[in-house]
Amino acid sequence: MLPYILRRLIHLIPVMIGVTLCSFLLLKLAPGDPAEVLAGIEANPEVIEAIRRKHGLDQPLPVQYFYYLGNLMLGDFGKSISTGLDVGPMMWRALIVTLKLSALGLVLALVVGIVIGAVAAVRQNSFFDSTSMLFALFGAAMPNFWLGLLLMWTLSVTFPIFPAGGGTDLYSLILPAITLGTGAMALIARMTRASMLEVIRQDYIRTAYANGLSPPIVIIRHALKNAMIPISTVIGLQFGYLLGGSVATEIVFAVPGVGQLLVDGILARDYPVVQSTMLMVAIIFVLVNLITDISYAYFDPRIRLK
Amino acid sequence: MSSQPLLSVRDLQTQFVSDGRVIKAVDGVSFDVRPGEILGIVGESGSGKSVTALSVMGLIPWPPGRVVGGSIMFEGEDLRAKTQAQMRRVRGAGIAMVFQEPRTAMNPVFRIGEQMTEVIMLHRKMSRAEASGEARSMLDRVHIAEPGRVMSAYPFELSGGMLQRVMIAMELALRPRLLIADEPTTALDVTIQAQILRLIRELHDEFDLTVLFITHDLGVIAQLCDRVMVMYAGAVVELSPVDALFHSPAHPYTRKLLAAVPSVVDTRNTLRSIAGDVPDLADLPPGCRFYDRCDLRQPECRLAIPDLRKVGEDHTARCVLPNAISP
Amino acid sequence: MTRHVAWLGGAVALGLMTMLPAFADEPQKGGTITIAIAGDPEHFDPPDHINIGALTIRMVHEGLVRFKPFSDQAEIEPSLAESWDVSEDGKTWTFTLRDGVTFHDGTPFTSAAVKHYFDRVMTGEMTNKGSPLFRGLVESYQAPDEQTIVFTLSQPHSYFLHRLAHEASFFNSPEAERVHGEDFIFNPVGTGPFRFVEFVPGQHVILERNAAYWRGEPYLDQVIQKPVREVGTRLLQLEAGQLHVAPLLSEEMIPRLEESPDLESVVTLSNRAFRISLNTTKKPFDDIRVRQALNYAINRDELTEFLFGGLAVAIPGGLSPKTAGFADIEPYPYDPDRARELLEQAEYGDGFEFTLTLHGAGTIMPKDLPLAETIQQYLQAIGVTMNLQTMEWAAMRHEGRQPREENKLEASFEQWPPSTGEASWVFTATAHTNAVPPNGVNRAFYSSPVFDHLLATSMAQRDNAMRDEFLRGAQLVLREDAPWVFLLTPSVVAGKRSNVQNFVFDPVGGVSTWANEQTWLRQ
Repeated sequence: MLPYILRRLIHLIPVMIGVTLCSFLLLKLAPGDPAEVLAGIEANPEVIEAIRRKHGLDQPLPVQYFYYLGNLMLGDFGKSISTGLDVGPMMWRALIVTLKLSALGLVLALVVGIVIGAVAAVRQNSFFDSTSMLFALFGAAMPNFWLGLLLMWTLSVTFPIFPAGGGTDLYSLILPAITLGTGAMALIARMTRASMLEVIRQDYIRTAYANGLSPPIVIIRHALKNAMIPISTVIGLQFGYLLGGSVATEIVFAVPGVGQLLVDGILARDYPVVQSTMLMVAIIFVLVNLITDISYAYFDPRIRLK
Repeated sequence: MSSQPLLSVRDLQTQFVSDGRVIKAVDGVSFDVRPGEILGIVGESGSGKSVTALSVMGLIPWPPGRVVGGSIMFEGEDLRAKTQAQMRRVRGAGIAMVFQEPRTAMNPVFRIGEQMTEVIMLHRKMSRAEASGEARSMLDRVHIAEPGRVMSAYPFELSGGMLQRVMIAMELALRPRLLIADEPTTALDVTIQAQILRLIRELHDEFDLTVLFITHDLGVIAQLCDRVMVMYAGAVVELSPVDALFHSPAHPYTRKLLAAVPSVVDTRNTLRSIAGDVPDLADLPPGCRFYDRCDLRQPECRLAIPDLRKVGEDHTARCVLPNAISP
Repeated sequence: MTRHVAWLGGAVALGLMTMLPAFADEPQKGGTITIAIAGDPEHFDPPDHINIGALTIRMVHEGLVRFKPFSDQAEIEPSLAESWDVSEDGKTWTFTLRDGVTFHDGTPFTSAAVKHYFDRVMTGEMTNKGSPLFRGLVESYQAPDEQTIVFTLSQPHSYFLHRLAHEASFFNSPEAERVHGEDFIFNPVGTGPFRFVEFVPGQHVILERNAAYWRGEPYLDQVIQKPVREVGTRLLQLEAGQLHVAPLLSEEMIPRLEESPDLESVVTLSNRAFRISLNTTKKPFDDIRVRQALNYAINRDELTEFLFGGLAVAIPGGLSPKTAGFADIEPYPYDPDRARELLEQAEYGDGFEFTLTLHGAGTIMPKDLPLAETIQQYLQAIGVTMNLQTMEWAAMRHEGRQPREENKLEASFEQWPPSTGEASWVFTATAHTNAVPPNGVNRAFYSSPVFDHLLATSMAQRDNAMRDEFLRGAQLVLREDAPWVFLLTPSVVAGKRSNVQNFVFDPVGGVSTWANEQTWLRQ
């Protein structure tokens, strides 16, 4: 197991280089530069040039890139061109919020999705089965943006149960987490249902019943653990999508996470912010997938021991 | 030994619904299982042997199947009248079942020890430590060399033969009065098969266990059983002590079955099979179900299903001309 | 007898009732107001500010003069300067500073602070915004004593006071800059009604009452700014009570604001003058008749009525009616026949095709896409096909800055809101010959010696009436030359909770809104 983990971690290096290089080049390809943005609408060319000089934007591209990379090795994520503040602290602050939001979204998606999928499988072709699968389809199709505003309008304004965004505490993150997690929840519900239908047909389930175990125990203990095996492979990917999908949700709910940071950074052509943030997101995505692959072994001992 | 049958099935009918057709898998089956005996049920695939066993256990899944008639008396109580909660107490502790394919019969993601301990704790009111000890000692009883290693193993780590022993150990640890074994050796190779049969015999003797043994293999019947029930197309066609079955089979089907068993002294080059097919269980003929394939068929056979007629000591057959010599 | 008592009772009751509104409107001390801002503030250094940080600067800092709050025009009134004198030739300005004013850190406000500001802005690298306001204008400045500052200008300038009223001219405490070093841009210390408490990026900016404020103690305890980027969310948070003031809403939200008893809409005419800039270096826009034709082809009244719900005003030239120096001349009438006639004369009777570049998202210029699509139809009616090209904001600015030979824009949506509230700031940047890209935003590449001369002359006037006359002339020339298709000035819509009183909405017509010492909250 350990050499496997080490090998996967070494793969991170080309990923890091690729991500920073891509963010750098893509942003440079877009017309406009941060000096123009920074100088404001009423600026003249001298002001813009001076800003360029101050931030080293007049250097040749490879120099700019390697300068950034060099600092990165030393743990320095650079300074934001818009604010002059260190990118590191602002990025960690935003990352923690987005991770909280994404994790909460994933937990909600898992809990609700697995329960719905399992019940739908056990009561196959019932009213619950058809309506819940329809509901799941709806959830996958609805755009985050629209769902977010709808939830805010009903549950923050019309029935003031939740805050209308803006906070980073758990209570404020519930509506955005629901918004974010709905798509993943739909997928997980469908997968759980399919997987459970397979599992409850198996011989060992019949053995469990034949030995007098009650349906709740058979479903929850014996069936579900087996049904989780294919789902655990998907969890890592789903978390990645949640991380990315948080942008629209964060804007709607005014959550100060990575999404907002990236949008502001891209519009302002703030290279250090965009590069560093994209890099951290990519690393987190790779690590989460690694953890998922390792956890897969927890669910399926056949993988572990072979 | 009391004279009251341990299990008494009368006129059991179990049906399956598929594509709008009703399949009568078990159509009027009646038999007793006497305390302490090993009763064999023999018949070809589709004869209704497994469905009978599952019906007794109350494990016919709806959809698509259902027990639609008859009574199943176990230890004097009607199982069909019991609630689900009551049946759960019977399953395992009253009647235990061992299935055909041991490799898929246990949950692949739990260790053997966990699975055994779970059911032992459920039925025998022991603590986890006590149940674990009980499991270990049962594994020992079924001649498993390293019970500790097996307890912490996962099912995929063990062979088929080993797993079937484990299944038997698990079921017997629950101290059932009746053990139903549904073709437990069919999926195993011949040497292992012999070991398992020997083991069942041993345990029957030691624990005073009543066994209902389902198989399609007449050789196994000869080795193990006290009495035999022959099933064909969802019905019982002959019920007899084992010696009588082999020396004087009464029903034409039974005789053909016996004739089909290849023998070492046989000089023929081809296997003797029974011509024709089993009737469609959704579209059964009004008369004797063996009619189309029977050498001795009479016109009256087509009109009504014969009753089980006494043909010897404790020996019945469902035929109008039992014991008739074929022309 | 009883009838007299009844009359008396009635009179007393009536008298009491008339006094009730007075009681109800007595300002209450205390409370916290939360305002939505459109993103994170960049920082709080007055001469180097951009957009969002300016809001804090308006509440924390002050300058020599200010725009009068609660007024419809950009009127100048004294602030840290009590009074001023101008010399005969208009070049020497002497300001007498207010006595006894202190910065939030306790240090006194004196001419040293003013000198410190100008030292910073007039020398060193021009990386801050304060410099374009004063460089080339202020020749020298002296502080003969603590209460006096004297400026010598290179030429008389009719809008010098407007420049001083701009928040980029506001003063930060020199002592605080010394103490905080580089970090002073995140630790603003001014003389204003509120003092800076903290800024947590992504979360809030918190300001609290400055009890020692020289105009009088403010009523509010605290002012909190929270970034809310999405306009729908701003409205919902306002309804839910999480915000007290939500600026930058849209007209469609007005009925909803009016319906609710707890909310109010605040609609003010803005300082934005929407126009289409036509690149006069590219055919057919090099022909004045074509440009005029486009101006005749548009029904401005219809646009303001239907697209903006009557909340916009058609403009004759490049200025909003709220901008000082705006001349009330006739806008182009809607006359498609005349338009077609002009095209015939210019030998474009069969029409032509061109591309309009715009941002399209409605964030920088509200409703720009529907506006463009409607104009498309007006032009189609006279045989002109206008294609639309949407571009991201930074990309569009980049394209617009390209010099004559490389500039690919044929026509673009433009607006230039003057934060100084006066016309010269607009025209110098957008219509003067020296302002063609890349030096400025004269994207029409318009060059008229007459216009330049009139503009320069207006700026050199000492008398406001004379100044306005010359500006009027310049605007007439502009209208005649029609380098732009003149459109309209929209209104700015904001929402506030009804119990917020005396909130300041930008007197020069910008989108900013802020609290001052007179703002209070009915609890």
